[in-house]
Amino acid sequence: MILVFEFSLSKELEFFREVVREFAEEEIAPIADRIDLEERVPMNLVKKMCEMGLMGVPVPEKYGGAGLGEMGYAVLLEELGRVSNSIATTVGAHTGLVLNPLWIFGTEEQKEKYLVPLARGEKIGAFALTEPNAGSDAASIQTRAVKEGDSYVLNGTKIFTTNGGIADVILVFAVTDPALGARGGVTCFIVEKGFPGFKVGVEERKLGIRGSSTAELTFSNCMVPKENVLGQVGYGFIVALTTLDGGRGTLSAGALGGAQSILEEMVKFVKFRDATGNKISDRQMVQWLIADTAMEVEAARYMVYHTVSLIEKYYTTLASGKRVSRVFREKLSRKTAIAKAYVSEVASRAVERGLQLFGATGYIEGLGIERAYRDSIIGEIYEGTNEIQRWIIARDILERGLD
Amino acid sequence: MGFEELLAIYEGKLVKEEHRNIWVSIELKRGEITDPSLEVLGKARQLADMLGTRVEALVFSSKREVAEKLVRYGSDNVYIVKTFPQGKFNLETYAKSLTKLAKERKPEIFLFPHTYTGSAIAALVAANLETGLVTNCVDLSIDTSERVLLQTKPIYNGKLNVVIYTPERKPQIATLKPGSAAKPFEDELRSGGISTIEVDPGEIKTKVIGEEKVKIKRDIEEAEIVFWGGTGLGSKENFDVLRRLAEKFGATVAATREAVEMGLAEEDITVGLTGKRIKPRVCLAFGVKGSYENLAAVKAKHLIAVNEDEEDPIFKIADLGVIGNPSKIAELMVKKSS
Amino acid sequence: MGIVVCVKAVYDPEEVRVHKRTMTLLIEGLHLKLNPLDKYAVEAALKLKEKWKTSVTALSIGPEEAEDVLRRTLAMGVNKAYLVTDESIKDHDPFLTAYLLSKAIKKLGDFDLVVCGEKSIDWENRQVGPQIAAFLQIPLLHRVDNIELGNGKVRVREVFDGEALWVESPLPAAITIIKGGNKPRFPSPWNISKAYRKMRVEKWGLKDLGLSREELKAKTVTKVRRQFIFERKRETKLMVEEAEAASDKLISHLNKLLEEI
Ligand SMILES: Cc1cc2nc3c(=O)[nH]c(=O)nc-3n(C[C@H](O)[C@H](O)[C@H](O)COP(=O)(O)OP(=O)(O)OC[C@H]3O[C@@H](n4cnc5c(N)ncnc54)[C@H](O)[C@@H]3O)c2cc1C
Repeated sequence: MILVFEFSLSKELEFFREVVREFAEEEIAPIADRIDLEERVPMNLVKKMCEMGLMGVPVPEKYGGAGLGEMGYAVLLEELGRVSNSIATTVGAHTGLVLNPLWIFGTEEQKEKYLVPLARGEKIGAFALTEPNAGSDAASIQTRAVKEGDSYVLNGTKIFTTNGGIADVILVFAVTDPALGARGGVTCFIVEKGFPGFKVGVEERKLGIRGSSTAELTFSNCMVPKENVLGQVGYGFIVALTTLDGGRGTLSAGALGGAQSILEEMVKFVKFRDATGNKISDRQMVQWLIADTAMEVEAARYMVYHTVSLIEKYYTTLASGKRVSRVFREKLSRKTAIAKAYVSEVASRAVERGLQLFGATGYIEGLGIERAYRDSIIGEIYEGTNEIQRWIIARDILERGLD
Repeated sequence: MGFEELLAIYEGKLVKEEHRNIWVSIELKRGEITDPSLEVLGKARQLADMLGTRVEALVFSSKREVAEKLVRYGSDNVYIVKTFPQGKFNLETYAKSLTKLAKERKPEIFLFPHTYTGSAIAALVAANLETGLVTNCVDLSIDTSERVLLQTKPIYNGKLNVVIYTPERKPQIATLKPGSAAKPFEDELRSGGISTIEVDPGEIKTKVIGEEKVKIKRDIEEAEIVFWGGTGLGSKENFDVLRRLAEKFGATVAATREAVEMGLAEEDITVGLTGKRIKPRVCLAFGVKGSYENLAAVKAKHLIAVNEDEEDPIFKIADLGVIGNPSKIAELMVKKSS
Repeated sequence: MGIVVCVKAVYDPEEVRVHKRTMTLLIEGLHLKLNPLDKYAVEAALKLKEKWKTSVTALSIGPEEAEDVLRRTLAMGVNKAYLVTDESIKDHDPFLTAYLLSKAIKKLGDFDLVVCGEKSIDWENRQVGPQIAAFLQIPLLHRVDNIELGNGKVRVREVFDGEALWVESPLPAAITIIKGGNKPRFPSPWNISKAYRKMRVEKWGLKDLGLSREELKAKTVTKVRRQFIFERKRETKLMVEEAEAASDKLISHLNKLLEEI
């Protein structure tokens, strides 16, 4: 086992964090509850974020991004997750699930046409894999793509698509060869919302992250030009897995932000209670709630940034056209699964403790605790449920052995 | 001359002859001497008595009554400064005039009230005279062994206090924070000299070309003074009284979540964890109970609470608490401040 | 036409703690930040830059680490940034700070406006802006929230206690900025990476300003005698009075507080 830990963030990223925190505190935190209550994507805010350049953080400058890498993107998600998981999710789906695969697998033309406006924040992206009969078992997707001349004709339904209702560009996974299935029979398509035959269906109402869009998308004879195949025909699963292997790791930074905010709220609340005469800080029970959360948040933070630094290496290598060794990929996949499952659960546990500490004050609407309680759970479900992550972890350990 | 002083001369520590007297720059508001100016005067009096020197007040005004009043408040000498161009207040004219006077007449100490104008003029004068200035002092005293002015000022929000002095240069200039010294008593029997001096400030480059009243900021997050109404006000009418009161003090109005839900005020002025967060200098809360939701969003330098129930949590946190009916008190305040 | 904006790197008083025995500040591990009001000053300068196509130079005196704070001004959009840094420069003497800044401004060359924040949140001296004006022998426009330029003149709105004056001055002039005008922009990630990767913060030592340590000492006019903590226990003063008396007292108390700045 070789331990290499280098995690101090560069000054550039520390500064970026300071700016994002200010932005989040000033522009998002005051309306975070309203966003939740109104149950729709706050387009004014999203527009502001687009203009400010928060929608293309990891992508190189050349393609319209800020070039701050996956580490920068993780910093962004942590700070957004600290104030609103709805917003972190919206930015996360756009960035982690759309920009990254376009950057890694796109042709120069595709990058020019799609990646640049997406990274500049002029357009918003979504990633559509899940179907009514294909969630955890993504291999059983049924959306079909049939080649007709210079185009593919798509038919099928995607569900639970984050940003589905607001996206201009959607990455859609469809079966091009049923005989091959997941092993070479699935292809990823870049679909514009204006393509004929594409329609946004119902918007889901949800337990949490209510200020994000989760929509059904339908494709009925939707024509997609063949230049819009991302990667190659039959490479769809490679695109999807490469995206999710990294995406779930960086996304855990959002959950980390959620846990961090609960820790901060707990401290504030205890101090307030102390000040108003009802001293509770000397109760061991209260101390333990804080200490347990602090321990887990600390572990989570190291885990997140360590994992993300590997994802950054992974993606930059792939994007430069170089190969990544199988060993590295397997290792990365295990690590991001660990981070995803662990940190999302840290966040959920933190909120549970927070709620316990806040009591009725936390249970009622409007103070953010109740919202955080509902918002945190999604981390255990999307981008592969935590059961699936455990399966990935255990399978890899049993096959490849412990590091 | 006492033994101590003789000794001091011997040791070369007594101030060089030419620098003597404590000067106080007096500010007027609508022709009246402001309280912060009188506080500085009172402080100057104490210091002068320790130093065995005189207090001289300088005021840009031609009214003799003002000068007489300054004498009664402790000034040994009052200079009514006449400068030109006459008329509107102009920072540059004031600073240049005082610089010139101080150069000619060489005070040992020169004190200003720490106000927006006082601190700026003090800064300009100190730079022109190439001497030390300490602003926002909460205490001034004399180190008699070295005959220097010890100037105490809070830094980092008062987390630390520093005592600073100007060892070699004269005058030693300081601005005194309002409220840091007691306003002296007016002594009808006191006498002192009053003279008018004319100064030519030299070339004045800035020109006041207009005046306007500043509108009260509606932007709660940026407001310096916030009047915050809660359910204790009881009705929309009473909330309007709070608005009128705020108008008089140039304050911005805010409401608690509970008050908004009761229909007393509009949503967009909600202050609380579920609304806006504020950091004003002064927050006056009428009828705010002070739940966690309320108070966790407020970081005020001075929090004053008016409420009926002594048990309300806000009284544990406020700097000043007034137990009484908030609407009634607000109403009386409106009447009395018109 | 050129604008120089002077900014300070400060520790946030909310974050700073004081060592109770040594009476010193505990700043280890804290980040220096751009003084909040100076963000407004930078914003004001940038607005002028956009309208009048001039260039904006940011200037600071401080420790080496203040470089990051200058990066922020670069990320906001200033053209160049300079840091005057030397071990022997002490923080406590604003006279010296203003003197050094005025020296540095002269070295930068021709300028039309010097823009500063009205005060910094650490020491709250309110002194450096006016004194720069004095050392450069240019007019001071104080507590400004609105700037207009034209015909070789500057017109500003100065705000004092609820009253505002419009003041006109020839150029060059020095301006101190207060909140209320324009909200400072957030630096975009694009500009952040540009500020770190493509731009430089120029560093000047004493020598670059043509000063020796002796001269520096001679320009240090004040000394710190001691530091102490005055712990005010936050306690509520409770007043139980008839409404009449209570309202009188509240009014006078409020008036007192309003005199503080
Ligand atoms: C708010 C939200 C946003 C989403 N955004 C997107 C998006 O942008 N794009 C997209 O493509 N999808 C998205 N999804 C879909 C999400 O990724 C899936 O919900 C998730 O992968 C699980 O699939 P499922 O819901 O069909 O559950 P199922 O796969 O039906 O799982 C049901 C249960 O069985 C368990 N389970 C299933 N298989 C196994 C196994 N092999 N071993 C152990 N346990 C197993 C699961 O863990 C779970 O507990 C989103 C979902 C939500 C709720």
